[in-house]
Amino acid sequence: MLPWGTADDLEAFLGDPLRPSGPLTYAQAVADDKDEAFPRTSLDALQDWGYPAHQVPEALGGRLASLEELAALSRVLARRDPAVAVVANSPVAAAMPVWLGGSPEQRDAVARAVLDGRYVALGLTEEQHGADLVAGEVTARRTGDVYVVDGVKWLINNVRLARFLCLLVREPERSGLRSLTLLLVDLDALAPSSYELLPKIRTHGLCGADVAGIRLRGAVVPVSASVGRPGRGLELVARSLTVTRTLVPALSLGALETALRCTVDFLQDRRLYGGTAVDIPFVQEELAAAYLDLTVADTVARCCVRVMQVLPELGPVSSAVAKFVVPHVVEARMRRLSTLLGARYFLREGHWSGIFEKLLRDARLFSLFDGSEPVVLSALAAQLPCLQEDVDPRCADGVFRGGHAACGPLADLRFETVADADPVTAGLQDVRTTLLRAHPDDPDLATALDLLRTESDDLRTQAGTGLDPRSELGQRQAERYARLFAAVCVAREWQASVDACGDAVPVSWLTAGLLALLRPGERMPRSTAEQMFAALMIEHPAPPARAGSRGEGRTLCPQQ
Amino acid sequence: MPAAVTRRPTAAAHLDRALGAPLDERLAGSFRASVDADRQERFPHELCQEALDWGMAEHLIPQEQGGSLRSLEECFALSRTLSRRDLTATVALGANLLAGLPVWLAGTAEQKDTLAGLLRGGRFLSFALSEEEHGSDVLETGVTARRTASGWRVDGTKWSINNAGHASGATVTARTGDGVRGLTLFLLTRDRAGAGQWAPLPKLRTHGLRGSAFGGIAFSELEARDADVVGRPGQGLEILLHTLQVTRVLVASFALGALDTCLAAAGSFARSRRLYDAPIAELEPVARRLSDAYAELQVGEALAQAACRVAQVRPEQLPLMSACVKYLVPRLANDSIESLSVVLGARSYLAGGLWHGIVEKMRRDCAVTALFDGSAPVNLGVIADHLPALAHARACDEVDDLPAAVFAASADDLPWLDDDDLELVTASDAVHPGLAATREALRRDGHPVAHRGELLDLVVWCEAETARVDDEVRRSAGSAAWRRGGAAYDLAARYSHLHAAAACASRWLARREESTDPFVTSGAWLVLCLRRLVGRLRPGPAPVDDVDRAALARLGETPGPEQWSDHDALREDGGRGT
Ligand SMILES: Cc1cc2nc3c(=O)[nH]c(=O)nc-3n(C[C@H](O)[C@H](O)[C@H](O)COP(=O)(O)OP(=O)(O)OC[C@H]3O[C@@H](n4cnc5c(N)ncnc54)[C@H](O)[C@@H]3O)c2cc1C
Ligand SMILES: Cc1cc2nc3c(=O)[nH]c(=O)nc-3n(C[C@H](O)[C@H](O)[C@H](O)COP(=O)(O)OP(=O)(O)OC[C@H]3O[C@@H](n4cnc5c(N)ncnc54)[C@H](O)[C@@H]3O)c2cc1C
Repeated sequence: MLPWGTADDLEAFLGDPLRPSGPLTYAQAVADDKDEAFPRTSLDALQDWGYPAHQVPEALGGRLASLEELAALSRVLARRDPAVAVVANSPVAAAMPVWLGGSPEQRDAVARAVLDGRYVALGLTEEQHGADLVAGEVTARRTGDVYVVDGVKWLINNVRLARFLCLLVREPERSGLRSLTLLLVDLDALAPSSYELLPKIRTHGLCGADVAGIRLRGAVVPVSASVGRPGRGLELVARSLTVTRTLVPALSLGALETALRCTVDFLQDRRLYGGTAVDIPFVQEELAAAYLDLTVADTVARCCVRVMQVLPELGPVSSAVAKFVVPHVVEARMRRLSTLLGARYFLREGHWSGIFEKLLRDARLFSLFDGSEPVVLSALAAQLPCLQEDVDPRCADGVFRGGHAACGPLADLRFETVADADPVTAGLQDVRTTLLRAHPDDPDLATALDLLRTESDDLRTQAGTGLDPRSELGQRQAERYARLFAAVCVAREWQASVDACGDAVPVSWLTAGLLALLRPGERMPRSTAEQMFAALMIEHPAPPARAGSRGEGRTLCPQQ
Repeated sequence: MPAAVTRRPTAAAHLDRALGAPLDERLAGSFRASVDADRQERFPHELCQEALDWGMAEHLIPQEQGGSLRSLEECFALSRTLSRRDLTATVALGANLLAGLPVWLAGTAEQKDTLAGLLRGGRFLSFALSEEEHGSDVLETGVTARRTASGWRVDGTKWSINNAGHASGATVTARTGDGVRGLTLFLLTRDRAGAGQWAPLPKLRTHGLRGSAFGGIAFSELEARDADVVGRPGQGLEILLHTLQVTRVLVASFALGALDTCLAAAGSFARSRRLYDAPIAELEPVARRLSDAYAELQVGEALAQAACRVAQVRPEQLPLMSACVKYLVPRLANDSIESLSVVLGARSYLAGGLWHGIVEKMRRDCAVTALFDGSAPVNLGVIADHLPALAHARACDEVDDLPAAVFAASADDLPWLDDDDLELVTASDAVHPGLAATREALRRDGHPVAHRGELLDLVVWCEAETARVDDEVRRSAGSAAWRRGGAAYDLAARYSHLHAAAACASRWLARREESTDPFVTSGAWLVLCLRRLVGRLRPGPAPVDDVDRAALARLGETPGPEQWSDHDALREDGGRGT
């Protein structure tokens, strides 16, 4: 089945999100958020639809055949309630180490549990160690056929509901980067006296999610619980994060999409200065810029998902790009949109049930978990010196409009924790030449492409210098690389669309998209903004005009 | 800017002491109480009561009415101090001032007495301007006041009004005619309203400031007397615009107070949290964010303090300056808080975590400071409308400067506000010449300024950028898309940064000679501020260097909440260095 088919089906099943109540309506989302309640109603509805099956690879009896499809499904949920999306997708995210590296028995067991509607949790974080996983203090001492596990994991999503827990532990007799092992703990089988589930930790975003901790005291786990080889926990976690970081952007995009619609819907109807708010040039330009950001971020996110499917060895780079660029762009844009929504952004009722601010709070978490912005940038920075190999850019052709490639069993994904060549950005020269040939009289496009080339040359020259990934220069270099990679995705995707169907959005949009990535914050030309605004209005037609108000045609601004 | 001087303790320091230690959970002025009330959507009565018991009401009443309000700067400091603990309470008390100002500026003796009586009685007031269908477009006001034989009859509904749920009085904007002279302000009290004439609407549930008595008021055939008209009939818009100029400056105190707390929290966390075998404050990306936030706090403070004084000594500068403050300071504070949330990681999302989760509450609450009293687009619009004239004045050299008192370390006994002196537009920007003055002073400098070279570069860049903005304004101001257009607003936003740069430069210039603080005399303070402003206009990588490290050291020395109520910290500046 094509991805969009399934996502459309889910969308149709869920119905109008503006209904006054019901699963996955805005009203329900806001109510659950306020009560800090686990979103039971919405999750039950998803269960009825069969959502859990999409968390389990096809080879294991589920319906997960393509990451692209999974991303599309998550986005449908995130448009309505990002908290539900996170909980509903937690099996795939938390069980990723098992899908990637588990034994056949482990995969089967987890698959069956998930298909039965049970949850999986991923226990990496500890209160004192955050992103520094190597410093983790939960230990597993091996005695004979078992591990004895002690310590506390903290801030773990769904741990209190989970059947299985993927637990990162230290084996004291091992040292260094090979000291960590990932265990698949079956909580149903664990002696109740040997562990304690800690109280729910109240959070300000994803309030409904059940985030808590677990304390293990002499918990006995069979040695066979090791996922992959003992001592290889860190690598497996890194590989899992490569996949999940690629999927998080879909959640951000869902939130932005609703935020934009919610804002447009208000402004189209809002009388101001003798017209409607959408007659104000500033409002039009801001909305156009939001629409552009959405389009650009969407393209980047999709390309990066396809990289995982058709070019997984580039995953360590593309996942960092996606995880940095998309949540970053989305969060910044949602904050700007909040200004347009005015007082209504702030209300927990009324216009669209007050969903906007909840979306903003939830979306903030997407840049935090599975690696915060600085952590992701340092992961990317560490790879830059390795991306030196010459490579044929055509290797990446499949990423762009490659159709909806199925990814096959996740266990077959072949990639390391570091990439050593980047065929995506290697295609810059070709796509630039093609574009310039096709648009010889477009100085704006030429300028944008020149900028792209300069960036690329600069970064290539600097890459060898091997900056400290945790230094400011290292991070900024990684950010530039991420933006370059994203921009090349946008250009190649645009060109591929022309090649495939002879058509694409206007080239001025492409130019604007490239600049939005390379020069964030700069405004697009007014003419492009007008076009994009018009397109947005076609997507979201204005409600029938309200009865005219007093003072028709007045333009005087009272604030002067 | 100079290190704290132990002189007469300020009112703000007294207030801080009265409220006690914010980390003491038992106190109404604690972070714990603030977060709990917010969670329960409960108005922070206890904290307001403590502030009132301490004497806050007097600080909302001008000296000529027997109160102790005589300096906006002091009012700002009080508000900032309270904001560090709880924005909900502060914004509610701020609404009292907002509602009162039109009367202090243009009311009759009787109205002033009424108002002072309400405030002294610990009552709340509403500034009732916005309506559900009309926010920024004040001219569209739908609430009407119609003439009757004995006075006026007020009808219609105000919406999105702070204190609406518990207000005993309100300054209400009503339509009494057409056009710019069609609005009239009334001071109305609830005790005079007959049954059903004044009906508070149900509380509006909000995401930030959750405990506020935020809502609406429906007026139905409410009788008002001629004596309730503030100023003259038809003068409403003018009085409103004057009032908003003043309150737009004061709103910055909410933003800076919130940033004070968030920065203290992030700094404290960064010094104690260890990752990769060292405190995270030593990770450069963390240090960068802390230093930037500290710089933005300095900039906000420099700009806002100058604006407080300008309101009293050069009110014709206020139309421009208040819009710059209102646009830029909440913006800086919000950007900083977002950035500090990255430093705090998961702890910025946890309800019970660091300091009871106050940072997350502040983050939600502070976001709103960009909205009320004129949202960011409205203020950018005001600045943009000024730009052509400002560019022209600069081209013709028709720019004067400001009295020394505006930037001096302390300025006592400035004349109080006078409605007759307030204007609606600023013809030329008197703050901006501070850049040229600083440049000249540096060029012929007798003082050894360690950072002289970089300072000159930064100042010269700001001046050149102003010239570029002016050119662009001249080129495009006439065009169709200028008015309320993105290009104009972007130039306005840039200009507000340059205006702030000039305020920082002027402050430094005015104070460095008396200062014995090497951070000031070396020019590091000004480098820090200007780099940040320039960095926002021209982003680029910024490795952490000595200036940042000095800033971080100062941040470390800034008294945190543990010391706010400390007797020893009772210093002229509330003990907060710069
Ligand atoms: C916490 C809080 C407390 C408040 N307290 C009070 C109070 O005590 N008393 C009171 O009277 N009001 C109060 N307000 C209302 C506040 O002042 C209004 O929200 C504000 O005026 C914006 O109005 P609006 O939200 O209705 O948006 P609108 O004015 O309808 O504007 C809609 C959008 O149009 C755009 N827009 C508007 N004007 C322009 C322009 N000139 N240029 C470009 N774009 C523009 C903006 O993007 C804006 O967001 C409060 C609001 C909040 C959130
Ligand atoms: C709602 C929610 C759900 C969560 N669910 C789970 C879950 O299911 N399982 C789980 O294991 N965890 C989970 N987490 C934890 C989350 O992944 C951690 O919060 C995250 O790893 C960051 O850790 P920290 O917040 O402790 O910050 P720290 O790691 O302590 O970081 C502190 C600061 O140091 C900076 N920093 C850290 N490393 C670097 C670097 N390399 N370069 C530059 N700067 C750096 C950070 O940016 C930050 O500013 C969840 C968190 C939340 C809020």
